[in-house]
Amino acid sequence: MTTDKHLVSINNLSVRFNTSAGIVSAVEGISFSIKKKEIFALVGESGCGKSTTAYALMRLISEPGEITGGSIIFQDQDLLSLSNKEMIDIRGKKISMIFQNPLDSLDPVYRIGSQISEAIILDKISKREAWKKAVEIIKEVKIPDYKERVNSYPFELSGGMRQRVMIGMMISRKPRLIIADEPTTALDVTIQAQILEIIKDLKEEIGTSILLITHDFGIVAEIADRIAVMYAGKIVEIGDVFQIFEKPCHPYTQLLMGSLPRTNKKEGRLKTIFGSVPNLIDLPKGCRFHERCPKSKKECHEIEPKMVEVEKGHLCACILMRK
Amino acid sequence: MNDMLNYTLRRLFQGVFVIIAITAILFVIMQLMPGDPIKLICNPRIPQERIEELRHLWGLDKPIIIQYFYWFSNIIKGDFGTSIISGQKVSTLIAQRLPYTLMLTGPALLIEFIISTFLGLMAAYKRDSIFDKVIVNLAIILRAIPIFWLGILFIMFFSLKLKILPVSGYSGFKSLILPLSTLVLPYLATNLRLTRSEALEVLRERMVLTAYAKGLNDQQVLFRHVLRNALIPTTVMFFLSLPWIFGGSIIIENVFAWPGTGKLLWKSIVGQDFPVVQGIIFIIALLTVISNTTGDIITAILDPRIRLEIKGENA
Amino acid sequence: MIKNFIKDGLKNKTFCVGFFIFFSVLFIAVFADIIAPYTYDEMEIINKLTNPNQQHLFGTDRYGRDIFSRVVYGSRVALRVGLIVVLIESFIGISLGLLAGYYGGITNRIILFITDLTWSMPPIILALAIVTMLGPSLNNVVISIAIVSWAQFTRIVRAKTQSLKNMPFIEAARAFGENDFNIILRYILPNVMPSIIVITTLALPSAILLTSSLGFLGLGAQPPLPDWGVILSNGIPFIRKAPWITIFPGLAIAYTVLGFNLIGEGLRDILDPKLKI
Repeated sequence: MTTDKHLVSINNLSVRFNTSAGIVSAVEGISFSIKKKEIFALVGESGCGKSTTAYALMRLISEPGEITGGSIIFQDQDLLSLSNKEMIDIRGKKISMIFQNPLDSLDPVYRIGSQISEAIILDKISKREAWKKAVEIIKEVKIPDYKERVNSYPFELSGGMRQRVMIGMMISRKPRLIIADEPTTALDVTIQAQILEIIKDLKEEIGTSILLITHDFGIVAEIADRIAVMYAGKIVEIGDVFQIFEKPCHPYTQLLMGSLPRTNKKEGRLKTIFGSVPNLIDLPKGCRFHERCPKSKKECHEIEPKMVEVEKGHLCACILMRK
Repeated sequence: MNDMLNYTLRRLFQGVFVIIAITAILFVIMQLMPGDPIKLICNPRIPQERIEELRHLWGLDKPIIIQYFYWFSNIIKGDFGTSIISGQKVSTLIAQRLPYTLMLTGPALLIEFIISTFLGLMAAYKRDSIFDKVIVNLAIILRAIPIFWLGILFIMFFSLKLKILPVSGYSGFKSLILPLSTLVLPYLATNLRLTRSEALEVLRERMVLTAYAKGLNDQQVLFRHVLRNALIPTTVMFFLSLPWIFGGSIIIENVFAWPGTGKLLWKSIVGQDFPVVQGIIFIIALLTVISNTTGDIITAILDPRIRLEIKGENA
Repeated sequence: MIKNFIKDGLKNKTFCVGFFIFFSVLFIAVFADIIAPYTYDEMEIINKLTNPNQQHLFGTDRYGRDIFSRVVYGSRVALRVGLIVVLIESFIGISLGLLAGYYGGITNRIILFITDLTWSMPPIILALAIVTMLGPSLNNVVISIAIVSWAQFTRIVRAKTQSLKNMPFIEAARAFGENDFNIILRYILPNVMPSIIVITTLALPSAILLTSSLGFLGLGAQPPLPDWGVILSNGIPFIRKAPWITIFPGLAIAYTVLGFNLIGEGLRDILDPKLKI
């Protein structure tokens, strides 16, 4: 359901991949909502389905993947029921996406000015106007020597500058929601900080919401407003940044936070989570985390936990919460 | 711009060595052929002195290197020499026949490039669809068919059975159709597979997702980004394979009795008519160098990263 | 590892179809004496140019020779020539490629120059010249095709060797005191092998096509040897009256070449998908 405060509502979304090795249940029955002017972080290990969720939102899932259920309500429309043409109108304009590793993500044979104005022109603006706007944008994302840089090719820029170009390109049409898929993963720490600043500014100055996809809790702590933790294709906990950091309730989140004593007590050492992510083709029955969970009980093997509200706005999918 | 000019001149200069090397090798090969061209054309009852005279006239009694040197200095001035077999000037012979070969190979190259690029792109875009599977399988089969057999089959079907096209020889536009098609099809098959695999690689790249995320539609993504990137390697291949089509034309001109340089070349090699062979090989070598250099330039135009490399080379 | 390879191979449809075709041609070649009702040079002038019938499945040519038998025996010629050519050209091409890639520098430049030269002439023209120079015979066809085609091995082997030679495990071997010859043979060659195998399976059909083209142009197997290209070209004066003389050998060529092409494609998918041929 959408309220006035919610920009996009994802309900019971499922995505699977039909591979030759079997059907991979990449995302199953996840639900969360992003408010307006909010930075929402989707956090989890590699392969937990967070990027898949992002692509599903943009309807960029291609063979052998398919979206098998649920709805994505954005501005009173279910994105999953739109035609391809209608979705094209939304991409870039209402919802856009920033990718990690900007070297691969920009076309090497076109100048960055062209790549940015290519997006702007889609709004029926003349070529000349679009080019002027592109220069503006390069200035806005604080690329030095912006007047000359417009004519540069992606390989002539550093990683940080390319990411700024990417951001500039994707905000050029003033979308309501920007999905940032691991935007700083391929960059140095110092550049990371700069990019995060830009992303924060986007929320403040332009008023877009950001769906931040990352595995890095450090970034989350810096800029996120609300967080959803994913594990093996399911969301295990949702809450605002304080709730999650101060009172994580799902064992997985707790482990990630490092605040739960391990079963094999080794004080003073960096603790890792024992075991590995389950095979998404051959999932264990019940809770997907129970095999690695230090708090697991017998029922965890059989019952799939439902999301329970532990306090206002803080949900957790663990049967231990049923009290 | 200066960089490009430098680069072009450098490549052309290197090309001169290539031309010399190719023509020299052929020259040596021709010299090593058994038998004696003079004897081949002379009445066997001509006295030995006369044969020696003729040999001297043709300069065939001098050492190979000197012969080559003479030949090369003449050809630069435009003098291709005279045919041993027919007595005509080689340049005349070539000039008479070259237009026919170009009439065949020129359009063939253009047509096959355009069609193969387009079909390859479509097949990659509609990967694993029925369209893709049909196209790929057709290409595989076409590549297995010997070009001379294809030509003969076409003649059998269209000329003999259906009687809608002439059997052989040049007789206007209609007679061009069969040889042209025979020349186009095998190269089309090869280039189609290449374009398809290049396009598939580009489609796997993340920048395609970026293009969609911007809001571009399929057509815009395909033709502005995928094609542009896939064209780089396919154009290189196109220019590199330009001289090969002369090889194909030898066979085609034979099958269709087409009055071009291919047939002339074959007859001259077998008949050991050195000047003609050398003349035609020179032209082919020249074309090879020009097409390779053109290919390099066009690739540099298409791919800015190569322009950077060229700048580095020139430094 | 071989078991895995066989498993992958059987799963790959292209490879299977190609292998089946190849095997059928091989079978025909090996058992030609049993399969062919006549020898390839038996002439029955009375029966010249007959249509395909029960006695002569593919009809007869102008000398009354059974085309079916000639095509069957032609498989021997084709396979034998193909095999020998590829053996020679792969040996030359791979050796030069390894040397050029491993030693670099001037060795590389020289080999590169020669390779590019061979590659820049349309192969059939060069092969034509060489065969004429040596004299038209099947042996000389083999030599000339090998000369014209070894470059296809050199390029890929050279490129792969270049990228391999800087890998840590090669440096380790050097540090161990292994001499160059050993390193190339025991470390580099096995790693280049998958690509070599793919190219070999594609070099074979090229050789067969080139042989038949030369045969078609009159320079190849001398009569009465049943080279498919020769049989075909012999049939040209009779394409109106006796089209089968040109149809069947051509079909044989296409069938055989197709088989090898499919094997090559299948192998590429299994062994080295990034190989661009």
